[in-house]
Amino acid sequence: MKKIIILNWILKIFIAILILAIPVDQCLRYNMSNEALTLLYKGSVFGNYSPYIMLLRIAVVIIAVFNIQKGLQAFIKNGYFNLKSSVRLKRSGYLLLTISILGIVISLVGMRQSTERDLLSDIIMYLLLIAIGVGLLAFSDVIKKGNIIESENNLTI
Amino acid sequence: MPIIINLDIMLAKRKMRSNELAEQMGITTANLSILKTGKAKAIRFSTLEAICEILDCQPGDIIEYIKETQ
Repeated sequence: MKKIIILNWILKIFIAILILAIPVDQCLRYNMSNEALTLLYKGSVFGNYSPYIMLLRIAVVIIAVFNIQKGLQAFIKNGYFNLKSSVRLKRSGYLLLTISILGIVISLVGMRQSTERDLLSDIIMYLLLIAIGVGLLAFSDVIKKGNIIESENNLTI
Repeated sequence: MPIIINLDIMLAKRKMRSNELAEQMGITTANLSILKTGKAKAIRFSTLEAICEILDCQPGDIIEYIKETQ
């Protein structure tokens, strides 16, 4: 349980950093001229809309991590096998899967603009994210089944 | 569930109260209540043995199977 408490705090800090990164990024962009921004996102698939797409992706990651953190918090409050954690982890698993599949599609669409090495590293990162998402979904199923077994065990007299 | 627990009938026959049985069996009254109301998912042989020994009866006197009609 101690490890889960530590992980819960790490995720809380991570969420705070991610949330802080958004206004910092906006401030940095605010100081840049339009020409500089156009040059910066010239090679990007979405052009000048790239920062907004990135913002959306970060928001989805924040929601996914927030759900994992809440799932861990439910572990601490209600024990290992509870339906609340299962629902939260399932939700974050689906979010991570969505963001990684979209990331792969975007990388493949914009493959002409990026180098082979960048494309490969992006795809590897997204594949790892898919693995984490599927892992979370599987883990959520294990917790759900564990909850059923635990309640049956509690009702065995 | 088609399995019926007739523990309250046996308790009435033996003129014994639930808390007395629970005390003699070494389980909580809450757990005995779960068993009596049919909310239990399973029953251990050791529990069944204790009930049979205390109430001087057979497992069939406590547990009954009634076929469900659709």
